[in-house]
Amino acid sequence: MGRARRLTRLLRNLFHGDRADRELDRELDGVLDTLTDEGIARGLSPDEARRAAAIALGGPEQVKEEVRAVRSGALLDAFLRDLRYGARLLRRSPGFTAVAILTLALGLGAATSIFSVVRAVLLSPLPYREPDRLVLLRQAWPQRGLNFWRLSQANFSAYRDDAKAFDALAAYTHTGYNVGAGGESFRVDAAAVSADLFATLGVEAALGRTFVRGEDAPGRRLLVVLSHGEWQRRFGGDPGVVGTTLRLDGVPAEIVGVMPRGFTFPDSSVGLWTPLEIAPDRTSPFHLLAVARLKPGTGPAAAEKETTGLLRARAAAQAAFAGANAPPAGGADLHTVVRPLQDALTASTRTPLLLLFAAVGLVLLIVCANVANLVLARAGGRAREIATRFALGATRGRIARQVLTEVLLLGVLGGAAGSLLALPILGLARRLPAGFVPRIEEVRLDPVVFGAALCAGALAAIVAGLAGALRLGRDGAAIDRAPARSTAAPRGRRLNGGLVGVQFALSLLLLAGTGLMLKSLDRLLSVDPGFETDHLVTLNLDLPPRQAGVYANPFAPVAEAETAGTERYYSRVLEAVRAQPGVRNAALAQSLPFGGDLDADMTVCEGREASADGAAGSLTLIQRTTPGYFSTLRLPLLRGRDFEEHDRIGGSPVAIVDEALAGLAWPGQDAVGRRIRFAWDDSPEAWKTIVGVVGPVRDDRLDRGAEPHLYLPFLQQPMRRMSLVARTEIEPDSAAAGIQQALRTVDPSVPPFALRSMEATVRLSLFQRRLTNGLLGAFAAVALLLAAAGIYGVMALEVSSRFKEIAVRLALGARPAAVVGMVLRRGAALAAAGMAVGLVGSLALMRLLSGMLYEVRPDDPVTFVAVVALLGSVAFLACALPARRAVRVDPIAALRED
Amino acid sequence: MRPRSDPHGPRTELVRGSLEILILKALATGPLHGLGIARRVEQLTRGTFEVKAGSLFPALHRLEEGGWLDAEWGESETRRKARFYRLTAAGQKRLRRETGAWRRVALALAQALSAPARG
Repeated sequence: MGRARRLTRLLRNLFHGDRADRELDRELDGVLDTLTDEGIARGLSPDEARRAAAIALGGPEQVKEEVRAVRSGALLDAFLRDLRYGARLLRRSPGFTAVAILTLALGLGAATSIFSVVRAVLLSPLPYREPDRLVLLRQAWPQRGLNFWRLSQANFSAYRDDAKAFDALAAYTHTGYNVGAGGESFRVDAAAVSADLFATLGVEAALGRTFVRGEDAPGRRLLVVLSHGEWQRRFGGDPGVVGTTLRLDGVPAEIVGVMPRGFTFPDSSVGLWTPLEIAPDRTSPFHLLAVARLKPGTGPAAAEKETTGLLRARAAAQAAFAGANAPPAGGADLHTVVRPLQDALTASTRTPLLLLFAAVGLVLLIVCANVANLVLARAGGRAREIATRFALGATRGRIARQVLTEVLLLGVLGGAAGSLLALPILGLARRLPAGFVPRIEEVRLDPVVFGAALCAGALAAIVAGLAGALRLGRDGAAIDRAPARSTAAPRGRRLNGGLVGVQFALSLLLLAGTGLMLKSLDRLLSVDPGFETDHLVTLNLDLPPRQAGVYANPFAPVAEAETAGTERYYSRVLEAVRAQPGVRNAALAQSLPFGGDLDADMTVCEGREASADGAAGSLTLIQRTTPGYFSTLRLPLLRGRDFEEHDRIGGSPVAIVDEALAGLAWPGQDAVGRRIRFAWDDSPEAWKTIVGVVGPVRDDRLDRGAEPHLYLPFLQQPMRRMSLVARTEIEPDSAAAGIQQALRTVDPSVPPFALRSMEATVRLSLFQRRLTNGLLGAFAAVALLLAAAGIYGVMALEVSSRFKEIAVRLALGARPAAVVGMVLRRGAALAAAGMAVGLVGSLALMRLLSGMLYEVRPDDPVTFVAVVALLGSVAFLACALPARRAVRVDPIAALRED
Repeated sequence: MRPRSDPHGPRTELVRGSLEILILKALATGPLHGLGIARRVEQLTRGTFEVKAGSLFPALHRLEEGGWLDAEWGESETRRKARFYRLTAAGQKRLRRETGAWRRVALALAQALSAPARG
């Protein structure tokens, strides 16, 4: 037979299997009729003849089954028939089907969502060429408290020119520009990058070109490469923009290229790239990060060793290379850190994501246990049907296969429903504020994730159904002999109980973890930041330098020629904002509390010049403020005075310290009148006299302790980029529009950005933690619900299968309370066993969480007691309903049944 | 199908395969319906084999799928609807080929089994 013919047969059998079945039916009917006719002809009565014919033919069903088995594609056909049969059964019990699919969809929807994020953020390779060879290079000097330390231009040049480990090395730093011309302008986040950044990443421009070597040399024209998104937003995707000129901070800049869609570096907030001026002899500031392409066969460790050697050798020859005024002592732990780029870019989300991944895995296990329980419970109800099929000659394997097909159908449906559920969740995820979850914009429900969801659904169903299928296979033969409802509890109830125990153990684990995380957040929220965060509006301003440059560090002091202009601009800003109705007070600071970009430097306190390691100074957070900053924030001034208008250039240098710094430098003494200076400036005129002491603040991150702060007067060293803080009498959000308007009248070419209330900023600083906790809470709630449903189901089944026993007990005079107690005891035993296992597991596993906890021990007794009490009372409620039903049993009716 | 004389006799591959060639042989003289084929086989083997519906119909199906038989609806002697099977060209070829093969096997077996036992 030709292959083509066989294929047509196969297709015909698959799609017209019913017709083939009908033909066989008619043929067998014909044989039966013929045999009957012959019997009658032999003198039998029609009935006798029919019976004899049926016996001679054998069971028609068996004949049909055997014919089907030889047909082409018999296995597939049997599977499809099972599927149809399964679908019919599922339709016939919509309640069971809906609950099972919903349960699976809930678990799989959550799992699919989290897996999509994990895949996009942590697993899928970065969208650059050969991304596994890309590394991020930074420096560290732990002895000085510099654990995350950036590079100076001199550091970067040294690695780029002398290190053998790299094929290419490029530097970058975040910045921003006031883009536009004349009237309105807008703020765009940008990255200043050395010219070969794009070549290092191995990505070409989609339109035009990227930078070429030499375009980052000092004094070159300003050039711009646009991101795809910015090109769409500002230029409507016009291909003619290449070659045109844009004004960045008022400086004309030629657009040389547009990057392809989906290209982001270092994160999606960046809308354009400009060349970063690299001067090999500039030893400060330390504001760069470097991305490098390792030579094939070179690992990050080897690169780290080589660059650390370079760093130490150069620092020994020139102290300024390491930002110090004296060469680091022999045993200095000065070193570089070289990490795979993917790890470095996603480091902040790795732990929370993995935590959520583990939590969703627990939820999925609980879902499996629940569905297994449902299938088992249904198997009990279907005992008669199964027994009948056994009697009709179905084999054990055949029935098990059929039950498995049915749960498989459930699983795939659940997986598909779960994916549908995941779609809106992922839509929400993509809309998270940029920068909180790196690469979140790449998250999508791709075919791989969808396939994984379906497979997970099938797997979950099989795990869930296997127990049921096996039990059906084993008990099937016995079920027809035992009445469905007897006084004896059927076998397999222990399996249901075991599954409930598993659910309770897993739920306890999840609830305990969630409880600890929630308590941490609660502790964090009650942390006093040191000032009043309500009724504060904050925003950033960046006054562009009047002199055109390729790149000017916005955090560097303003050039002397421009100090007067800068001062004038900012004093007009304060004047205009203070005049706004609803504004009580306003002040400027170098950076916003919780803004995440506080300046830090080494300082030396008078009388404590020599520290233990001989190195000068200790790391201090630096804030430059205008007079009125402390009263605007309501940050208490403990001693001395605030800065005043006369503390300006030419006056004697003054400073204010906070209690944290004063306590470290002059414990138990008055700091006012003492002197402090930067470690790098040991000239006699560098000393600043302390005129005041303020309360400690936690303006970096709430989960860090109060760190030492040094406040310096803005007027003695004006900065380009400042943050404005305004205390309002009205709601901060309603004051914002007026403040924006006032700023436009001062200078429309300087757009305010990051305008929000201080409370929103604090919330944003806890955003990732809140998000993690919210998801954990949702998972824990699902787990709790499923555990309750699980124990309820088992106890309801228990009660209904023991109706007769209970009826007999009641008829013999048992008190209802005793019957209720009996049911509750059984439920309590199940829940308690599960919780005991969960408790032991939790105590062992919660230690893994300790890195994410704040002022909560991983074995926090209060949390554990609360979780056990919660789970216990849920179990009690879930058991109380069936127990109540038990005592309402009407003995007469129950005993009459069957 | 099993030998009538020994209901517990071994059912070897040989015996199972023999049903198909017997069906082909039964149809060599002309189209027959299922019941007719069963009776013709019994007749041809002088009652040694009894063909049960449970093995006849799967075998017929297999042969039809393989293209050795064709089937069409017709009317039986008792004016009942019945499916009539007939040999296709491929079926006739197979019958000829396998008849030769069976002869050789049967001969070899007969010789082997009638040889005097030693030992």
